[in-house]
Amino acid sequence: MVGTFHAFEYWLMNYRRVWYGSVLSTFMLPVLFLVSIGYGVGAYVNNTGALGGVSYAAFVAPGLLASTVLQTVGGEMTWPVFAALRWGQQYKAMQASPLSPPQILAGHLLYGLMRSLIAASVFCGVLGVFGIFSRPTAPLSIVFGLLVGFALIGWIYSFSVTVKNEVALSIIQRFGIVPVSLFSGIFFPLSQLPTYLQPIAWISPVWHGAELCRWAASGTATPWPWPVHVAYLLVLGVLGWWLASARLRRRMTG
Amino acid sequence: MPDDRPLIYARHLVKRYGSAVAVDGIDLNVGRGQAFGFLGPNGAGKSTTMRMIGCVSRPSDGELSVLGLDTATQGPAIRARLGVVPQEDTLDTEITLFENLVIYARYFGIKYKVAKERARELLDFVKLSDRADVKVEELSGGMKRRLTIARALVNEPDIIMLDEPTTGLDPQARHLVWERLFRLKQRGITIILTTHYMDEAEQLCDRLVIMDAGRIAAEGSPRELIDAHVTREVVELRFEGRHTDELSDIADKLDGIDAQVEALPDRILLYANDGDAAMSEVHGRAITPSSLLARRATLEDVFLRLTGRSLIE
Repeated sequence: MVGTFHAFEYWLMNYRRVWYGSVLSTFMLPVLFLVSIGYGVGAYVNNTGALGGVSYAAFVAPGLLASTVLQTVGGEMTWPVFAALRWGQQYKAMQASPLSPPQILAGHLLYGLMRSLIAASVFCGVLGVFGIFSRPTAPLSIVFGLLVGFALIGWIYSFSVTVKNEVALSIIQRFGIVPVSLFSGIFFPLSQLPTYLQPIAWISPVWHGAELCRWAASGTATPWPWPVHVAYLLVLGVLGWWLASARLRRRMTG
Repeated sequence: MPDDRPLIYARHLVKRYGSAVAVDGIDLNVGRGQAFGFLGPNGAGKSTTMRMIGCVSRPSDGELSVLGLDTATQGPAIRARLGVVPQEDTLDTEITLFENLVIYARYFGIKYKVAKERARELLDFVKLSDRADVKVEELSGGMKRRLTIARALVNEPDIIMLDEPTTGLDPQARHLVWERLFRLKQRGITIILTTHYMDEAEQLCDRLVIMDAGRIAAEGSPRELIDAHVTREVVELRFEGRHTDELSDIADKLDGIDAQVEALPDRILLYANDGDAAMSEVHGRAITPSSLLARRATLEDVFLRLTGRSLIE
């Protein structure tokens, strides 16, 4: 357990050098999204019944929080993981110490979760300032955002330690992150999609997270009972972590 | 634990990758305070053996213990007491020298305060104190090697393992590395190193094994190996412009000389106990090499005799 924190410290030290850049973009993203999509698109679609009685900005914001976490995890767990394994050799350096592959993994995932937490918190704070997240339960969306990060992190990590060249990493951006963002009920209610397409969203952790965040921030009832959404994200996260551990171990000990 | 137990002990150690055999049943016995070398060409199995000793690669077969601990089950405990200088530097080039040492010390659970003290001492030891706060990417190859050596010492290891410590360095940088390794030897740290430079092995190693194709071809001190496998002196004959087949024709003419004759692609070697006598015999046979010299036998000759190939191909 202690070893995990020693590995985490490396990423923390690394973050200390670049945090201002990342915090700036974490602040800017929600503001830009809100202004362009929330208010811009909202001017066309407000008062649509399918939104559940809230403004479009209030509808889209919780979903954007969930998708911001997806972007964060997608950014942190692709190139940096590939680099630590192959280019920068940070993992090899760690491996010469008493740290074991599961600890090296946990240290890196912990860092990814920390970044998810920061992204979700900043997003929540900005929307609070704009008055969109005003309910007392709204800060719960930070927890749900973190849960989305947990559900995704092991899976994206597993992909990044398995691929043989970095071109494959852009596949996850194009064919993973973008479609998931589009089909997770972020920009429009899932009920607007044809019934046969809706199960796509059921698989997506972002949809579950977005619905939970919407519940916390706007009081919109979740489609399924909330413990089901939470349980799905937890189970997905545990499986992903387990897969990542198996993949990294195989990659590092041979 | 009695001190006479070997620090590294291997019996019939094997490493297979699929159907390829990288290490083919070697035995090792390294005592405390020794400087022990693996000499051999690329692909001989040296680095694979090092990785198994460093507990990052599992043996496919055989027995291996380091510091009296089983590598299969006690990897973290062993690694806590090893210092590793890998073949390719695994330094973080985007952070400073000082930060590299401190964060590495943290992997070993060394407290920040202690880590910082050691980092300063070790930078001093490898003569890089004046660059403590520059980024690693600004260092030369030789400096990076020295920094890697400093980093390997941050946990005050019982054994320091160096995989080709001076490959790719210029002569001056090599001597600086050797000089630091001598100092470690004087302090009584056990040194394990791989190399394909025979001068490095001769200078640094108390004992060494010569590896070829995953096996140990010979074992002993540099002197013992030379005494056991080659004659005291070697005469080299070169014939400008002529090689391979032509040289083996010439070698046939040397039949019956009081020396063992070895025709190589670029030169002929005569293994003789008396180099001068062998040279005058060559003259007596009306053979006129473009250059002719007698020298002391080296580990390179041992390797050549044992494998029929030179170390660096």
